[in-house]
Amino acid sequence: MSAFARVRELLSAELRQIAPPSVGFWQILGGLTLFLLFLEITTGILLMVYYRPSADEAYESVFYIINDVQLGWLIHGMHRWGAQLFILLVLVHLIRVYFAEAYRERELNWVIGVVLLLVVGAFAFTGTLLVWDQRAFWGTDAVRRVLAEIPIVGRAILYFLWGGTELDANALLRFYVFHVGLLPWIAIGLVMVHLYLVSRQGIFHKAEAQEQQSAQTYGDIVLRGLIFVVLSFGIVLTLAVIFPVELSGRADPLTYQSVKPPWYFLPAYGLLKLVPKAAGVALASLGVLGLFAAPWLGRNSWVAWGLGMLGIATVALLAAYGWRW
Amino acid sequence: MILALALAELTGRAQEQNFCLVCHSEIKVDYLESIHAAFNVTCVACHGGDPTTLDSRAAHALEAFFRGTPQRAEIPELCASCHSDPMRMKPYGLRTDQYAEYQTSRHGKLLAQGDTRVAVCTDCHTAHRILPAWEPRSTVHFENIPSTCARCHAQRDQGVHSAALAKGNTKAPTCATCHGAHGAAPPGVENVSKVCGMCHLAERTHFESSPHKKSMDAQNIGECASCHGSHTIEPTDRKLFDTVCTNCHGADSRAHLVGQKIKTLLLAADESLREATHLLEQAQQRAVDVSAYRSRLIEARSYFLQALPVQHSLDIPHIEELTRRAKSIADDVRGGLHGFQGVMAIRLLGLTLVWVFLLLLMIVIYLALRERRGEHL
Amino acid sequence: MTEKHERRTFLSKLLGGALAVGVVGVIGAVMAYLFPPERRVFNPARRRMRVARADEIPLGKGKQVLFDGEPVWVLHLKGGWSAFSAICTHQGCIVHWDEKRLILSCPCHGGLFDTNGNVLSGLPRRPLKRFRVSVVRDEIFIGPGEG
Repeated sequence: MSAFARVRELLSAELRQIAPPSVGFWQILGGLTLFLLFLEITTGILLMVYYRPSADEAYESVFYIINDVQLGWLIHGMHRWGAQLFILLVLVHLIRVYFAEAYRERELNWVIGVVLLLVVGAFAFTGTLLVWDQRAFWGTDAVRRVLAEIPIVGRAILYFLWGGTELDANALLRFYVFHVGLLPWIAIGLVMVHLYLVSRQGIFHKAEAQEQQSAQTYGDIVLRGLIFVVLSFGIVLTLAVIFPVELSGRADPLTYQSVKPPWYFLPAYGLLKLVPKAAGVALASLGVLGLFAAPWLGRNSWVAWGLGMLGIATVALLAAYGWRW
Repeated sequence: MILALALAELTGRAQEQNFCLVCHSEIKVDYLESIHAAFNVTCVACHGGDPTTLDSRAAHALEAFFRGTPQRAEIPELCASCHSDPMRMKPYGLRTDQYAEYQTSRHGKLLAQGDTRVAVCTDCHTAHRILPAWEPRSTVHFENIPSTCARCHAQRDQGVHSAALAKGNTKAPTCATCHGAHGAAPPGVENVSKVCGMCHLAERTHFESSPHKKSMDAQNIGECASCHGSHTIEPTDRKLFDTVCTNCHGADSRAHLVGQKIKTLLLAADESLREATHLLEQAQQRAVDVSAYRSRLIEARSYFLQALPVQHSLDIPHIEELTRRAKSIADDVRGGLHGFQGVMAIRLLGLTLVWVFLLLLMIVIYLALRERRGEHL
Repeated sequence: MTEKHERRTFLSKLLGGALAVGVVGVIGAVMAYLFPPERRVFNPARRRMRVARADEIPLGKGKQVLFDGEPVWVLHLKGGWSAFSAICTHQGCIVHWDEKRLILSCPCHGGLFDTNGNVLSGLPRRPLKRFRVSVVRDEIFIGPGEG
């Protein structure tokens, strides 16, 4: 048999395997997130062909991509909207896993998942600055100012992330390197471990469901996932066309502009408005630590649900506060 | 009498021995903040008396040249006793023509006729809390002048000048800018009705070439005020053409038609400009390259702005030339920017086609899925 | 049995074909994107623009150019070269360069600006926006930002 036919045989055999019964829509969510990561990486690499990460040229190169490059507006739009959808799905995936208590006996995978959440946040943060327009510049500068207030640790973080205490061309380049050079590798590595653990440990299902007869193969799951992949691709495409990317003016370090962060950072923004400076950052860090510790905190089902609802309510209220005031 | 007072001051009977304020403590705060206090112009300079004693009778003795509260009619002359003396004012670099100017003003003339209900120096400058005009707390600081005049005159204007003043625009006119600080009109102007042209030069130039100038001057009608008002000047609105022309001209006169024609020209150009600007801002938000359009719009707006003073000349060909240029450029820009919206339509069409394909794809996958499922059951 | 088998093969072929079409479409779009557009370099004229050769603008004279959509006066003065926005800071009319008096004057309300862009008289309150001028060999370039 030719090599090609052999691979086909192996693949078909694998896909014909019977899958566990409780793999429904919610379980596909993780896979969908993976697709979006792949989409982001692809559009990101395409953007890299034309983007220039120097403070003098960044904005102009983005302008060029949007106006002159064929379908540049589309690639850029898909990258930005894909990111929004990506973050949304990651959050939904996290909430789903939490409330379904699918972290039971899978604590390591949960921890890796939360790290991935932070990585996604880092992606969003570093990526936003790269267009170098007023909103991006001053939004990032706001974070810089918060970090600058934190004693000792703040300065260290600032030097590492910004390459200094100012938001300038050095910082832009550094953010660019993080965004395209460092974070993608970390993300891919972690995702691979994450998926491997899922395949090793199996999909979590509650005890009652175990007796059910399974009626699907892995191939079915792939096909079902494919439908949603196509659907989400369509959604990102639609968003990119109907809501073209908006750019505010070129970043001007001399003209201050008060900027509200994008929706996924609103809770942090609200928290820092309530409890400013180092204390606020400390509280936020505590929140993140709590998220890491969720499997251990939520040993009891009722406690888990209670904490979860409380957590979501707090985050939502902080976001609302950040948005309105 | 006045000389005696002056001598008394010159011989240095100054603040150190100013017991007046011990009893007259209600004046103390005001006076000590004033510029007179800063330069050691003490109570005796205006009121006479003996400031070195606490004994009421001695302090207010006639022998000490005490004169009490000056009569209103005497106040200008009293102030002028120092402030019109060039030798005295030279060290402070102050003008000395205020009294002379005052006497030419309506306030001065009525006072000379015996009417004491007019403003004298202390009404505007206050009696004791006298501060220089550059001091923000002074009653004659440019921002405070309207409220100072309003103490007697009810002319609080709510128009564009007052709004500009409230925003802190130092170039905005106050009452004194048009009416003069002490005199009846500011220098360089024959009378106050002609004062607008001091700032609104272009309007004045064009107005003077219009048929309005001669006839209005002949009938002594205020040139600017007759249409724009004198104190509450509303922001210019094309509606003015509908309301004001008929004050003199008949509703179906040729003059009224001229006004309507100018109004139409300006309105059309303005509409076009407004829409073009709106479209430009929208496109700019979408990061579309609009630099070419921006420059044309600046040019168009420039023509329109030039047409605004020219309209006072009533020279329709000239006005039309400017407004026509403004409008055609703005229309051009609008057309070009609408072209971008056409691009959007094409993109939506492409999107729809792609969606058709995606939906078909999803259906095919679903069918394949069902087929597979059907196999196992 | 064969009917079902036929349907099954038909569907899987259809699926394969549809997916292939999709992939080809995506690759086509990517190719279109990757082929550089006509204007090969992103427009540097937004950051730096050549105005003229230095000897084309005599001392005391100026040239008005369009920079990124904005009219700009480039002036050759005794102290060197200056570039100011030609947009009056009052209401936005285009200012003229008066060679005799060496000032920039606005025809709309008589605002006057000196050769540093500062307001000399009239209704404008803010100075004219300045642009950066650089002389490279014997060519004059302007760019955004302070002189």
